[in-house]
Amino acid sequence: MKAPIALAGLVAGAALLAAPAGADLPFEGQTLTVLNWNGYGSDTELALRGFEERTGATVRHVYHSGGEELRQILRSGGIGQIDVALPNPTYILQMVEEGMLQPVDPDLLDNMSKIAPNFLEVDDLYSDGALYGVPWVWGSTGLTYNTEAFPEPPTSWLVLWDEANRGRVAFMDSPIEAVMLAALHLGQDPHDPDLDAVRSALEELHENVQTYWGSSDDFNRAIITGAVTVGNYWSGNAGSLIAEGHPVGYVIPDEGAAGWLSTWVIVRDAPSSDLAHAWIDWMISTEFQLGWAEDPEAGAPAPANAEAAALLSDAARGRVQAYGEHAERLSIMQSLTPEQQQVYTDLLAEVKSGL
Amino acid sequence: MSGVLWRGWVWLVLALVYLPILALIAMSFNASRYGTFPFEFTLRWYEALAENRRLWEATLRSLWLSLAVAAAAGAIGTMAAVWMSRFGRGGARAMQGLLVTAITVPWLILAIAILLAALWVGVGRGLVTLFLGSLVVAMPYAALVVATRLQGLGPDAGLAARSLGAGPVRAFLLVTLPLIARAVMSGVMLAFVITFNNFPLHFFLAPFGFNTLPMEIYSYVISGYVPDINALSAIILGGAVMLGLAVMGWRRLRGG
Amino acid sequence: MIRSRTGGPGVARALRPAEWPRLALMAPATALLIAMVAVPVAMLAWFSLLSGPGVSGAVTGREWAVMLDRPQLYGGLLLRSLALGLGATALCILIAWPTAWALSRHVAPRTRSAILALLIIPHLTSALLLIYAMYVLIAPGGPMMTALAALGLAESRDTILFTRWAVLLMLTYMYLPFMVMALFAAIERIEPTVLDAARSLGASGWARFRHIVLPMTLPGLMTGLVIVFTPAAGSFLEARILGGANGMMFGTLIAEQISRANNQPRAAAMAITLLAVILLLLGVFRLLAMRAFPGAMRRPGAHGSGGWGG
Repeated sequence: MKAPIALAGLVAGAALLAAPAGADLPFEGQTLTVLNWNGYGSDTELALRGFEERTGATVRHVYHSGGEELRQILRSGGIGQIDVALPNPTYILQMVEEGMLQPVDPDLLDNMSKIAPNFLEVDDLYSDGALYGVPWVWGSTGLTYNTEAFPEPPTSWLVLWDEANRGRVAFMDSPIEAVMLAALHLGQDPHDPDLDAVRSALEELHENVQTYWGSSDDFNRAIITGAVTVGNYWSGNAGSLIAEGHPVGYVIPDEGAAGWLSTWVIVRDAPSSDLAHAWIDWMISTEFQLGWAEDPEAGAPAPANAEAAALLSDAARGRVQAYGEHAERLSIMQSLTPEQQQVYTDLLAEVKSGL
Repeated sequence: MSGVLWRGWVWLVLALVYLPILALIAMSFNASRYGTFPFEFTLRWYEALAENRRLWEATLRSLWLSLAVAAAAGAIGTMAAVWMSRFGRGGARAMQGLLVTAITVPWLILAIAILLAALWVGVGRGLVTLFLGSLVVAMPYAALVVATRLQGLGPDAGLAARSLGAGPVRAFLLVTLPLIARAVMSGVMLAFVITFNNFPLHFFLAPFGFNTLPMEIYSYVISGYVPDINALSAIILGGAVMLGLAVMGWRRLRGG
Repeated sequence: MIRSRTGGPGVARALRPAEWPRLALMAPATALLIAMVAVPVAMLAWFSLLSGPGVSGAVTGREWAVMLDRPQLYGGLLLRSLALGLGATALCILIAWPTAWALSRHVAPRTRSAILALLIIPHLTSALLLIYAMYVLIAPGGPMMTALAALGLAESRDTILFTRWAVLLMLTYMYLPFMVMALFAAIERIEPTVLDAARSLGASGWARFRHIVLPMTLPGLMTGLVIVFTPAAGSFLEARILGGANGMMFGTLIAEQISRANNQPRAAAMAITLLAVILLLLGVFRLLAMRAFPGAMRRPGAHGSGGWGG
């Protein structure tokens, strides 16, 4: 029943045995605090037990529901209490400027060499030549549709604006995703669009939107029952629905889509920087990445660890949507200035209110 | 008007109040992870829950916080109530006004006010902030419950004891307190459930990593849940109702 | 410290040694209420004027200007919150009044206390659990929609989840038992003999309700108004989870200012606005009630006896 998990457990166990026998656990009794979404890989039993067995440290989680909230948690007291967090690289530069992060020392990460090189070329990971973000998983926010409502896969974001889909659209409750998608739809530079045009496009879209989904659960229930028939959704989660046999399809539309990376960062004044490095090394290890991706119910995105990506079973590859050809048509999200962020946040809030 | 119709209405309302709860309990035995039909019986969410340390830890955290706050609220609230009934005179009205005002402020607004003030002072979120915030929300309920009882009591008993030579503290402990013990207990219980329940305060004031049960449930619902949260909710709601029924049954037996 | 027994009577009373334990009784509660409610709420007004970031910066009042600049958004959301709060309160009264009356007059005391307990117990666990239970019930493909579809009343893919109706339903559900409690306590205080007397003097059912029952339950109604309308209008969670695209409330946006936008001054300005409007409305209702039924709101011993709104 839980064969892939058991498999991952075996792999992790084997790795443990390979460690020098009799070595004391280096971080016995310490606690690592992780800031992440609920249910996003790092709080699985695989992640927690594996880390505990390797280091002796226990892990606790602080949950957020979006990049804005993540930074807000650090601003309002999380620094000094939280060791590691998992922002989108879009936010890294600004977080560095706000003094929230400390650089990552790649030499302390044995598994760094396994990260696919193209992910390490993303500019937003670096500030003044120092590495701040370690790529973990990647994916896209593409067009997800109910195959019963759309026997022919839609190929353009236009379908969200189509009057035929009034009240049947689920749209992601994220300012940057909303602005980028509207810009792609308008044929504008997704990184620097005309905001007035974006606002009108989103206001027009609002007429069709049934919900601004904030959780994968909102989206899952709505799309598999047909309460909504189309929307923008994360690749890994859509892949899980498809793999489970639900009437769901996922495409990268002709206009392109937003692509994202999830990256681990170390928070400034992290209670234990060594422990934080050990955690990141475990998170990017082949054992963990493979184990997570192979868990059919985990909704994992595609692994950034090239070795893990190469070892994926076909079923898992489809589920996590680890397709290189997708990557070429994505606009990887880029950093926003604080002013842009405030403007984007206000813009979406105003559109959402419908007033 | 026929009494049958009135009674039917009461049962109908009761049934409607329990409809979502029964649905939740039923769905906690449903195999679909998206809460959809056809219904297929399973116990796997309860098995998953048994392995979910985080939810149990959060439940324990919530219990400890609520117990500590309830105890403090009971003590401080009872003191205030005694003061209002015995010595307050004009001050009693002012105190009551203050208590009622504290209850009237919506929790969201109070939570934000306390958070901003705590940030301004330089304390920010933390256990102390959370404790004091929860206390100030719960304490007025305890105080008002005890004050109501004391008012029904009148000053006679305590005065009688004092006229027989008991000091004010002895008179309170030996005479008044036993008389209001049940009200104090009710006040403590009310403070407990209010603290347990107060998501806005937890959300804005708890130190990071100190996830109470409502915070865990919120993060599950917000970031995509796993149905073991169904199982936990079913246990809590079902358990609370059973406990209530058991207490009532016990009282009835005892009361003859 | 002056312990003179020869000073003026006022001084003597204030400073008699025996007063100190008395003050010690009320000091913790008073200090707590002032430090954790009065001061923070008052400081909101000041925070709302700051330029930021956080609770720092110059006094500019910029956030008020931003809000006044977009009356459609902020005013509109405020009206929506008040409408949802009032709607939920009205529904609660409509459902709770007959329930409380029936409980008081038509149900045996033993069954009555059992029913009251059953009504309130789930609502004492956690608001989140109840919201979540409602989510499970009304979700697309969930029990309610499947049942309605089976009866041919709806398509199974329809849902009221993610609409304002879902928020209204939830707010009503959340506070109904508290309204029943408040009204039940008020109805219990009406002596049956008063109604019998009125009947024997020829008062019709409506007249008895209008002239006796309604005025006598008015304090309970006002209590109910405070414990239902205030939290309902100031809520954010129900809308955040069940409201979807069209259910956003003023409270939701306040919470987002803190949890997302990092705009504490605007959060403070919005919180003050909401609080002021809620208190104002409560005052207006009280005034209306007093005008409609002079004397009904002034009961002997109103202080502390459950008449928190009265």
